[in-house]
Amino acid sequence: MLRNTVIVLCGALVVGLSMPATAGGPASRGDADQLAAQVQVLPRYHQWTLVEPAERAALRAVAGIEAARRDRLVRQGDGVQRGIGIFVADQQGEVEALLAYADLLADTEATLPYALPVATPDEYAVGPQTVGEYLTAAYLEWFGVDVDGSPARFKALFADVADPQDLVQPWIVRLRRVADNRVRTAELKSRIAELPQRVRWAVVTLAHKDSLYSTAEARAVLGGLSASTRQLILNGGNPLPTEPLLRVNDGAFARVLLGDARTLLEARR
Amino acid sequence: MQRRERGKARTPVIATAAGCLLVALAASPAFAGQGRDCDIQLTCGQRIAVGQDYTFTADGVPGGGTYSWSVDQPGGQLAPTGGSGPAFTVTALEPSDSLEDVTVTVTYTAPGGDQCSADCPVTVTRFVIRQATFGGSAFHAVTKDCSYGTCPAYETPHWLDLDLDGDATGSGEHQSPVSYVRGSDVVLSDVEFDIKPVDLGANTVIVQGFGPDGQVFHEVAAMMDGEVVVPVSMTSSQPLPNTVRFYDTYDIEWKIALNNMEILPAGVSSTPMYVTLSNPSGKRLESWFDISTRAADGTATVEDAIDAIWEEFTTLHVENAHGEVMGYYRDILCASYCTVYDAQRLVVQLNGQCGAWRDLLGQCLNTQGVTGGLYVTVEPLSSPGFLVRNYEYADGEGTSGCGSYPYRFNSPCGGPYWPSGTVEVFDLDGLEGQDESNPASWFARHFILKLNGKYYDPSYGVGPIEGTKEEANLIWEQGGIEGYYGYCSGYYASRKDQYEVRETWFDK
Repeated sequence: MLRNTVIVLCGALVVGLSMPATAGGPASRGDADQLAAQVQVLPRYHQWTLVEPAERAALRAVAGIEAARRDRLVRQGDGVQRGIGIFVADQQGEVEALLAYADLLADTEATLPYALPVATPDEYAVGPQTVGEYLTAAYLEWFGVDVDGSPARFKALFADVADPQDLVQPWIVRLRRVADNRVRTAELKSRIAELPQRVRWAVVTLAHKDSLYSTAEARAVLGGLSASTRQLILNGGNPLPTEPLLRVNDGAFARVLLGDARTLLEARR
Repeated sequence: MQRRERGKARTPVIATAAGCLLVALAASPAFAGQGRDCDIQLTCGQRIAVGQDYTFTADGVPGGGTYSWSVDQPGGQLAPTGGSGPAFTVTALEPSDSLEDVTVTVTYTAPGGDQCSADCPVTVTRFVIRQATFGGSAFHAVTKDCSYGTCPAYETPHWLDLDLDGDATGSGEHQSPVSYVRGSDVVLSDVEFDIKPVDLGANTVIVQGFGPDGQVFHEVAAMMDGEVVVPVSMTSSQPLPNTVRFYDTYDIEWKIALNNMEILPAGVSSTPMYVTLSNPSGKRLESWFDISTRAADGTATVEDAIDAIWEEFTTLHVENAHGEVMGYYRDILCASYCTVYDAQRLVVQLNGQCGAWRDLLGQCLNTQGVTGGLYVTVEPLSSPGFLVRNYEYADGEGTSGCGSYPYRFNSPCGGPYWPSGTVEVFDLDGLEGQDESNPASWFARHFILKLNGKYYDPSYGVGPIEGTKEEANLIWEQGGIEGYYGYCSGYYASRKDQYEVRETWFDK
């Protein structure tokens, strides 16, 4: 078992995959178990490309298993398999599935160790983690909020979320992961353009902050909002009061985001 | 009110504890002495608490005579044990073994030579807070620092003075730090006192504790078998301040009121307390509480708390809870020689990589309930790694023979080395990092924190950097990157950073 150690890798660094690559299509049930058995570490925050090349291939393959197999790993597997199921949902960008696993936040069973890159070349840090800790890290990545392994905190933050597709941060994660793919980026931006106005302004403002939308693109989208929505933003109102990202820390990030949106809107005038 | 009588008399007595309390002892025995042509009245206290001074006064008639005082006691309860003059001040040093086992006697010699005397039976009491446990809905246990896994919580009772010497520094004693969320009530349980002498008779007992910011604890207690026990939890009369607050020690001055009249000091419980901005998130290491709460003391908003905690990191002198300064590659030029990557190990091992410092800032914020800090990785766009300032490049275009990396560079981590005298990139002092003027400075990547759209680089105390990701990225790069390294014919080599061009990338 790899614990709190540094692994020296032989391979060169590679750019993170934006989507799982599966050579032979969705894995069968037997394949899924076999693939899962080959995985030794679970990368956090999508920083899994430094994992040893042989393991990277296993990770890539397991990320392609179909939803039913993934759910079976999560619901019927042991701690290791539950962690792998969370990894699969993370890689597949299945926000609804991740949210459906919230009961696992309290899961204190050990899963595979986490892997994180370190400052030094060809090395990464490995440490033990529980299923709940890994899911907490996945939530921070996908939703931008820290649920601290607490189902109660999760409920407090997400209970009022009516449609997971309206959550802001997942759109940023999706955009980030396809940033080097123009076609997929354009597809995503088309979908973002169809989001309800109260969501769209936040997604686009945040994406602009993350340099995923140009200033011109962001101004164009915000300029296309209804007058009432624009006015609400200019007045400092929060058109998205149930978004967890905008509720945490006493709404500190909401204030920042609204300020950024106002700046973009005012610059249009 | 006093009454003078010849022969036996009962005298209500006023006893004054030095600088402290006015104690009325209505049931104090009478202490008047009578000689043939001599009369004396003695004012005295029935119970004196250890640590208090008390002044006995006598009034002899006819006046103009002399006074002589003596103390009869089983073992050092009062000092001094003799004196002269109409007033006699003693200090209570040790508790009585039993009720009224000390006798103070004054003898008055009148001008004609007649003598009369009076006695005062005294009990020296000692009430000492032995233990108290903090709790309540806003209480959070603080754990000890530890390098790995789940760190143990500090012991309870949080205050435990086994040898009853007024401190909790002895073997097996506890002075455990506690934490509360600002603006919340402090709740105490298992509050117990040791009393001497063991049998003080029947008393109605009320325990009172006075905290540092107006918090008062008040509860009826039971006294038996040498102890006072508060049978229920005690909730502060008013909440803690509604700001982050660091109490080096949260001192509660305890008093015990007997029979609704006599109020006696009962010691001070003294525990470090961290009052946080909001509910802590994540692990609860003492050093994370200590760094963040000290820094954010007095703040009441998320923004102010973030700014204050960040300010601490910009000093490049961050201490753990035990006053030990933590470093960024302190005395290390080859980054591989430092394998501390997280805040848990950093506060114990005191020297860490950038990932450890990024984590420490994040954990300090989490401890104040400020969550959601993102783990940002910085890497070169097209090189294996970068050189952080300061470096000096030799004059000229470089002689490595590789166009991408023209300058010969020797790694501080090992060879192969360019021949002596041909190296063209030289490490200079800087950039200064945490407690190190010249930390390791060539890396494959670097880690910083992003919170509320701002970037913080705690390793160097740089930030917050604002703007879009790419704008902030360029600002960060311009402030810190001297060049890039790569490979050239099996050797390391380097090229200079182009100041106006962004050649690194933030992943978030």
